[in-house]
Parts: sequence; structure tokens; C-alpha cells
Amino acid sequence: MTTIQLPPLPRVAPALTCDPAAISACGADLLAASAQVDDLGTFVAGRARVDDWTGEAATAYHQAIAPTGRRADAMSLALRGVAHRVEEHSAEMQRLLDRRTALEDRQQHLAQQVAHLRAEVATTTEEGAAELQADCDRVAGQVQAYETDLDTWVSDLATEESEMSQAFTRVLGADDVDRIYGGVADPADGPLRDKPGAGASPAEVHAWWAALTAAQRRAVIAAAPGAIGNLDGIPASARHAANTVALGRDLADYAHTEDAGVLTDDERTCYDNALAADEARREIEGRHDPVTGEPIVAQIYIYDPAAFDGDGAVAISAGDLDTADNVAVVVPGFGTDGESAPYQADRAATLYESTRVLDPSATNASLFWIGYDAPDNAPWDEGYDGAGVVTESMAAAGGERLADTIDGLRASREDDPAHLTAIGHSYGSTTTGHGAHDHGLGVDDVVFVGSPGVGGDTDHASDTGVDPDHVWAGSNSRDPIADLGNHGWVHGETVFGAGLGDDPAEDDFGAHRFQAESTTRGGAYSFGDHSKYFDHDTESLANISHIVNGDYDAVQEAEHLHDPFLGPVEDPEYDREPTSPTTSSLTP
Amino acid sequence: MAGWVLVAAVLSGCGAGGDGVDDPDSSPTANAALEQQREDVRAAAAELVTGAIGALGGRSSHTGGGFDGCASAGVDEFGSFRYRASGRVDVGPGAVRPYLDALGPVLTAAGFDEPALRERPGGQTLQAERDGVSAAFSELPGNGDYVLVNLQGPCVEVPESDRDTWLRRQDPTPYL
Repeated sequence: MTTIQLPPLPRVAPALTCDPAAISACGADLLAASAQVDDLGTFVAGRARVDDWTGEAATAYHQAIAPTGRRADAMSLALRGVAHRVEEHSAEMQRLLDRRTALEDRQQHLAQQVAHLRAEVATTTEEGAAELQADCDRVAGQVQAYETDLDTWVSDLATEESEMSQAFTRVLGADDVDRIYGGVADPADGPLRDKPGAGASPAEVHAWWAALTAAQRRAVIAAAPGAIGNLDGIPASARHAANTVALGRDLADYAHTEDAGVLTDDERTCYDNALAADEARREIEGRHDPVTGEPIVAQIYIYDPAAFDGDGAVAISAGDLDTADNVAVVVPGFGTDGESAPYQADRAATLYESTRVLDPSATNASLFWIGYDAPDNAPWDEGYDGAGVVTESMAAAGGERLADTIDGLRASREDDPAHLTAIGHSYGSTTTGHGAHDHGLGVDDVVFVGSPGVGGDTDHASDTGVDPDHVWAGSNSRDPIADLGNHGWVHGETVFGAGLGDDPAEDDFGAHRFQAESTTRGGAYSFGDHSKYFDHDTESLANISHIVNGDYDAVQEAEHLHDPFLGPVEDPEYDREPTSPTTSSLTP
Repeated sequence: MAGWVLVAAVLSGCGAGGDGVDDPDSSPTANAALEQQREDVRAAAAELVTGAIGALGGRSSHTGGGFDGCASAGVDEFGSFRYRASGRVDVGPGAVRPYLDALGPVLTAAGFDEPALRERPGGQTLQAERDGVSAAFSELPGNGDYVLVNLQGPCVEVPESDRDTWLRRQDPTPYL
């Protein structure tokens, strides 16, 4: 009787419960704290010195504050070091979790094979014994390899936890911090000295950034997030990292100031803008990619809560701007300021979802861009901003900023250009029109939706500087704002001194008009229809998504508006029955 | 010019713009309905994910949800909201395509009506409804060995005074 040597049962991998995202959030908090302390060091070395104060008392004062500055700088470097180690720990723990998942699969598979072989032993014949033993030996070899990998995993886990623990314990005391970091030059100082000055092109900025080492980049992000967070030419991932530090620092600062009861009105405004930016980021991260099911990546591309006299500037993308095949920049219009970020984030995430659903083979990013001072209130409320809605001045200024942003996106991806689409909604279409006409937007497609006019100097699609075949207009027949653009030969901005230019959906303009009716459209002049262009399962969102994806054949075109010499403007879309194309994972 | 002034007035909330409701009596009702919808959708999502693992093996991930605006109703606001949840099940080694074949019974066992198979770019979905909640399993063969679970409740009109609260509401806790 032949004896069969069965393979052993593989051990089960030890349980590992951890949340890398929570670890990463902890690292971000530490980095924000490092930036706060760094600000103190900068203050002591700068404004706190009161340079025009001289004499004995001044000398004593300078001597008294110097240790504070030294301690702040050292503490900032210590916190930064730990923060970076925590970030690495987060990534390493994710890798260990992934490795454990793979080991778990192997263990289950091997256990099934061993169970199968044990059952085979009971029924095998003498003739089949040799073949069965060969199978057992093969599986035994696989179990051995698995056991070796499991041991390696256990060892790597222990090493990682030990090293993380050491990173904390070596700077637990103030003396330790001073001994290790006291008087040490900040590794960010050199790169910041060499940073291109104001007025440098995005390409020059990009070249400077590309020449830095990874350690120098990390140092700059932590030490001076404001220096690069909104700097065109810096890659989106680095801007996001810097703006995350700045946002975390601001939230902590303002919360502390509020708790102390000394928050000023201006600071309250900035705090509200910071909170809105944070909620916008979380809104995007709380949504899931409709193709992979994974959380959507958010990138804070612009963060300046004090910009435009407190209106705030913020731009956050759904999707990775550095790698996406297709990038859309959405320019909102009237009524938009920093506090609009959560709503605009919902729109950006919705556009992201729609583009992914309609073309799962392409990667996408959609960026909401509150990067200009939009008219955001009625003139009788707060003055100039609201009055701006009837003129082009704010659009013209915004157009220049938009062109800078587009140049920055292009410069940071010179070797891997995305298919780039600018989408202007409402007054944002006037801004986009100005950006295109006045500064030449480096985009592949430009889309105007709900447009009250695309700027007085843009009489034809070709005036945008973009190939007219890639200029698009969406105009809901019930949208009264879209009805405000010039039609026929009447030009409001020249006749009355007020108006925003031509209607891009009219036949004379020469753009493609796409279907943009809504199944929930109202009667004639329904203001609600002005805001439906980005809602899921609408003609408008589906067509915008096809354009963003470069899938032009799928765009459902509409007949243009026409203004006969005599009689009112004719809109063939008014009587067409709207449809509801699917743009999400669930069919309506 | 008069038209532009009217536009500024209406869009800034000084006129009768939007299609909003602001009936104080409807506020508790709408809020309660959305809270209940959250409970229902999350419970159904957990049931479907668990059922899918039972049918196909494997493990779940990214089991989360949140409130989404349904229909815009003016500058910076949605007039209605609903709860949506999603999840992913990476199927076990023994699972056989098409995975959706095994998931119809999961939907019906959870009380959903007869599921309908539909095409979507890159794959197919199996969709069904239960008390106004829509649920779908999706399979995208070119993207990996997994199925996606998506659910959403019906849109609930929210009074104007509560819209900002629902827009900013976060829900980071996984349902499973």
C-alpha cells in the first residue's frame, strides 16, 4: 500500500485593522500644524523684528524673541518630518492591506486545493497514487511559498509599525526637537530663493518645479504652501498638496480665533470661504466613480479665501488633472463666490460621473473654476459686483484669469496634453468668451451654455480663436437668461451701453447648437431652467459630456435660433419633446 | 436694460425666481422623509452587497453614500435631494461571467421587483425598484472582475430654508 504525503494547511494571515485614509488625514493635520508654527517662525524673523526700532530696548527685545523664532522653526521642521513619515505610513499600510488581501486569496485557494487532495486520497487507486503524490508535492511547494510570503508580510508589518513609532518618539520632548532641528536650515529655503519671480510664464514655473528633488518639493509644500498653491505651471497634485496644507492651517487658525471670541468680520468671511472649500472637497471625495466604484479623486487647484475683497477664489476638480485623458474647466456665472463651492462641487462631480458613464475607457477630470470675481449680488445690496452683471468688465478681467489657468494646465502637461474643454455657464460664458477672444484659450473645445452673450467683440464662433467646428452652444428654449444675448442686427452693448454680446445659439454665430431641453422645463421664461444644464439625465449634460470626451458624433445637435428681419426670434427647440438620456449608473 | 435689472433682481433672490417652496409646515416632513430614505437606501445597499457576495464570493469595498441634489432651482441651490449609495464587490475566483446572471435572485430576494437588463457603455446593468428606491448591479467586463452596486431614492422637494443644509450634509460612514 502506497503512502501519500499530503500538503499542510496554509496558515491564515493575522487580522489587520487599519484605515489608511484616517492615517493620511492625521498626516495632513500635522502638516497644517507645521505650517502654523512655521508662520510663527517667519513672523518672529520678519515683521516682529520692527526694523526701524533701534537702541538698547530694541536690542534686548530682539534677543528675547530670537529663541522663540528658533524654537518655532525647529518645531515646524520636527512636525513636518513626522507628518511626512505619517503620510508614508499611510501609503505603506495601504500596501500591507493590499498584500494581506492577496495572501488571503491565496490561502483560501490553497486550503481548497488541500481539501480536494484529501478527498482524492480516499478514492484513489494504487495506479493513481503516483500522480496524486505529484499533485500533493506541487501544492506543498505552493503552500511553502505562501508561508514564506506570509512570514515576510508579518515581518514587514512589524518593521513598519516600529519605524513609525520611532518617528514619533525621537521628537517627543522639546529638548529632542531642539537637539535635532535647532538651527537647521529649512530645506525649502534654497528652492524658494530660486523660484521664478512674478510675471514668469507657466512654462518657466514648470521648469523650476521639475528641477527640484522630491524632498525639496515636499519641503516647499509644507513651508510655503501659498507660494505654489495657486501658481500656474505647478502640477495639480502639488498644488493640491499645498492648498490642502493651507486650508488645514486656515481652518485651525480661524476656529481657534473664533473660540477666543476675537474673529473679525473679514476673518469670518474668509473662514466661511475656507469651510465652503473644505465641504466642496469632501462632497467630491464622498462620491464614487461609476466605472471603478472607488472614491472620486478631488484636487484643490485654487484656494484663496481672501481674494476679490473676500468673495474668495477656489477651484476644485473631480478627477486627476495631471493624468486625465479629458479635462473640463467649468466657469460659473452670476451669483458665484467662494461660498458657492459646495454647489459647484456637486456639479463638477456630476459632470465627472456623466463623462465616465458615457465613455468608461477614458479617464476624466472636471474642474469647477471660481477663479474670477463674478457678479455675485444685486447692486443695491453691496454695490459694484451686482452691477457688473449688465456689463462685460468683470467678464473681461475674469477671461484673462481663465486664460492663465488654462495656460497653467497646459504647461504642467506639456508631454501629455489632455483633451481640454472650457465650459462657460451664464455670465461664465461671457467670461469664457472674453478669455477666448482676448487672450486665446488653449483649449480643444469651448462650450457656452445658458449664455446671455459671449462678449461684444465675439460676433462669430471664429472670433473665439477656436476652430468653429469645436465651438458649441446649449440653450434651453425656456431659459430667459439665454434669451438676453444679441439677436439679429441689434447689439445691446453698442446701442444701450449694456449687454454681453451675441447669442452663440443663433444661426449667424456659426457654432454647433446642441439639444439642451429638460423634461421638467417650465413655461415660457422659466428661471429654473437656467440652472438645469448640469443636472443628471438631461440632454444638456449628456451632450456636454460627449463634447468633453471628444465623442462628437454622439452629440445631439439642435436647430439654431433664427432672427428674421421682421418678427420675433424663432426657436425651433421650443416645440420639440425633450428627452432624458442616461448619464448616471441608474437609468431614470 | 430693464431686462437686465430684472435678471439681477430675480437671480439674487429679490424677485420670484426659481421654483422653490418655502412652506414652514413642509420642512419637518421633507427632512424626515430624507432621513428615512437614508436609512432605507443604506439598509437595502447592505443587503444587496451581502447578497452579491453570497452569490459570487469575493469581498466588498467602497460601501458609502450621501445626499445628492436632484434638480437645480436657481443660483447655488438644488430644489430637491435624494440619497444614493454605492459599493463594489470584487468577485471570488469561482465566479462565472456574466456575473449579472447570478444577481437577479439577489434583487428579488431583497424585495425588489422583476429586474430589467439594460446596456450601458462598456457593459450591462440589472436594475429594479422597490418602494421608489432604484437599485442596479453593473458589470463592466473590460474593467475588472467586479460588480458595482448603485442605489438611489426618489427626489424629495426641500423648503428653501433647508436647501443649504442638505447641500452641505456629509455622510462619511460606510453602510457596511
